[in-house]
Amino acid sequence: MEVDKGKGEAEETRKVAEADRDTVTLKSSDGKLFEVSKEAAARLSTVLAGMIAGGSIDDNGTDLKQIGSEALENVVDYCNKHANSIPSAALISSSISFNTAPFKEPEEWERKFVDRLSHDALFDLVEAANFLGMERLLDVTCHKISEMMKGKSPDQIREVFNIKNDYTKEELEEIRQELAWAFYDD
Amino acid sequence: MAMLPKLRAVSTAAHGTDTNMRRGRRYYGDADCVIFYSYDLPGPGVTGGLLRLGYGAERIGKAWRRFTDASGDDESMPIGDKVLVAVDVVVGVTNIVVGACDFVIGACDFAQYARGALGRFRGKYLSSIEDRITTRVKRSYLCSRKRICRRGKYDVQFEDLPEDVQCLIFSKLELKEAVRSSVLSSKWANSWMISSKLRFDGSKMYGENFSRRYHIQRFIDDVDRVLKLQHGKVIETLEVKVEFGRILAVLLDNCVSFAAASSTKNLALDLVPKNYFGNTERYIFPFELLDRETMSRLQQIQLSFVSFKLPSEFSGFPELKRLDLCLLQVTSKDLQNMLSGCSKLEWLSISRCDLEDELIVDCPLSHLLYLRIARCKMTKIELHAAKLRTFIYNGTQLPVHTIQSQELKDVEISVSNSIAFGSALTALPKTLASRVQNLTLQVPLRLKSAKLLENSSKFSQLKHLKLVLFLLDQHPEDFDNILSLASFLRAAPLIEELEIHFNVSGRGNAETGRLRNLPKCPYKHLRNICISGFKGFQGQAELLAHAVENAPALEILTIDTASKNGNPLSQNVEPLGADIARSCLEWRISPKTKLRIDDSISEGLHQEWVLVES
Repeated sequence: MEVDKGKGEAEETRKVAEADRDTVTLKSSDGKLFEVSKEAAARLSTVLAGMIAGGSIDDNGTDLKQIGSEALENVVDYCNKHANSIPSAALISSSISFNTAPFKEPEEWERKFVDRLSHDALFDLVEAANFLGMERLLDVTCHKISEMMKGKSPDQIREVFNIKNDYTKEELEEIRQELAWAFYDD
Repeated sequence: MAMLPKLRAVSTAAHGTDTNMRRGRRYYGDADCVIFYSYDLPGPGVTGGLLRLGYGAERIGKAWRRFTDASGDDESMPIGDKVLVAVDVVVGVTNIVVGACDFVIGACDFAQYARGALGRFRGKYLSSIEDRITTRVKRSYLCSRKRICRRGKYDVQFEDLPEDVQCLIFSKLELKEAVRSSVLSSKWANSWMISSKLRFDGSKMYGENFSRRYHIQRFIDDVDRVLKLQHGKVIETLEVKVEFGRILAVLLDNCVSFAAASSTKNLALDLVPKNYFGNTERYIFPFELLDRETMSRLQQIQLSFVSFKLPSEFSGFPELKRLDLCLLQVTSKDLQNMLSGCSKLEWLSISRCDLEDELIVDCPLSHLLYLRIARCKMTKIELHAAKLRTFIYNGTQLPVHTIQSQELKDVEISVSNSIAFGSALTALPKTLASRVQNLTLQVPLRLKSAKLLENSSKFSQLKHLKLVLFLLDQHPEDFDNILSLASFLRAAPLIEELEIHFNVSGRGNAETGRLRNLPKCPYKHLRNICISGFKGFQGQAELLAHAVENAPALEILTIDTASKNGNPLSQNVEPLGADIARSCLEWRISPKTKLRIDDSISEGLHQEWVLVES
């Protein structure tokens, strides 16, 4: 992967230099090779961290048979972007409110990163993130999917997720009756 | 030697997962699937392995259920489905094998489990029909999963996602939205129940017009109904947010019992009414409904507008990590005992709890990292928290609590009563241990003189100082003495970033005469200065000039003429700030410094960039 060297700032060149020396090569199901910084891979993916620690990294490309090249490219892209991003104040101060399910809102770049993905690419990336044990990426992509359901009518959601309504009118009515409060303002 | 802690972590992980697996089986009948309820398993490699192991097992389980549903008769199942089942099995087995391998590397005690799991699958499904499986596998192995799963518009469907991922997605939705998904199609009918989080929020369930009088009975019935539906499931997080009324007590008791029965780890009861003044009746937290096992399972508790009395044989919450108490009715003795029983506490917030007394916790809270005390009337707080990193305080006076933590790095203090600058400057470094790196002060400081104040105690590690100041018209001398704030810089030899946000009520005097000087005093590390609410008062100009002149390493200087807090009172000051800033920087600023002046008054959001090239 190309890492943006344009800025020319000392901090960044140092990071790039490190990445050049210290990378792992990953191989997608269709045989394409991707390079990613070892540090970022180990920090962001529990599975890769385990493989690096366990020495099961292949210099000629570690096989990831479950992940297609498009998804793997996104994974690697995410790792690189993550390595270059400075944690924002929002991330640091997130501990201020009590939250039983601690989730840090996606940062601006993370939002853009998932927004530009096609439906398939997003779902593939979710599966890849899940497979690789990339908690943050999984969180961000799942957040995106949940947003695709928020504030939409059932028909709109069916359209988004390509779901075929197989209920009869009576069945639908029954469900609505059972949990009426959830359909109150329809 | 390094292996030891790793092994220990792995063993804990394996142990925890094993429990979850057993639980999973109990609730899911004989379906041999493994569901993971937590993402916080320690041991990096192990988690991934566990998840894949679970995913694999689940996948085989599902595939096999589909196969047996078709009563095993080849003709009753369309070719496409057979291939799908076979592929699911292949993917599942691969996952199990890969997952199990990770374990063998990671930990010996887990390998045993993996073998058991494989054995069970073989025993249960594969022995009788093994040949058929092999042929199926062979025939379909070359087909890529993508093409097989293609059923129309998209390759991957929501319901193809692993159960734990679906669970994560549903947990990000409001309960209402999750429930509404049941009308999408029959496949979705019960999908929302997968979520291990239940959040009953009155205003979210019935809209913003939720009124206690009209909706409370419906709320009680509807919550009850959902609890019944979810009966017997593991619910990790249970939250109830509704304005308290006596009529709710039974329901809330039910919720607590439900939490105890559902292995809940996070429990939140937020019962604050809109107008709580004079409202003395609170929900009495039913400690008697929590058995010892539940108490040792709870990791997060939030109680707002609750009263409690500790039972005599209170044994503490040994695993509790986060505790948020608000408007709590409790004696200081009970609160002390409660906190003493939470030795693993990492995050503690106590707000608007009026204990007219001292709070002294004898038992060391050695894991406590975050402490917030807001608007409490306690006279004194004493905690032994040697690892505390963050301290947030909000009160009428400066805190008198001594925080003896060598790790304390971030401190935020908001005080409502005005305080003489000199006394704040002497008191603060003493109260807070001297290691503080980031300090935010929001205080109505009274600035009595323009001189530098010498103080013996210093902020020896302070790197980032943020001051939020309120200047009032009735104290005109404060405007003139702004320069004395430089004493803060003097007291912090390592300071790198300075942020000052002025909030001015009234017009002040935006004309500058001859700027007064302070003795030279280099702030060698100061790289970044940001001043908002810069109206061009003499004192502001003097402080700016002084800081810039004495900061040889200054990289970024940002001046904003508008107040950060958007105080409307302050917006009527004439837009001289930018001009005055520019004129007083003219020969003082180094060419290496990047200067940015936001002049938001004159032209809305117009921003002006002045870049001085070297």
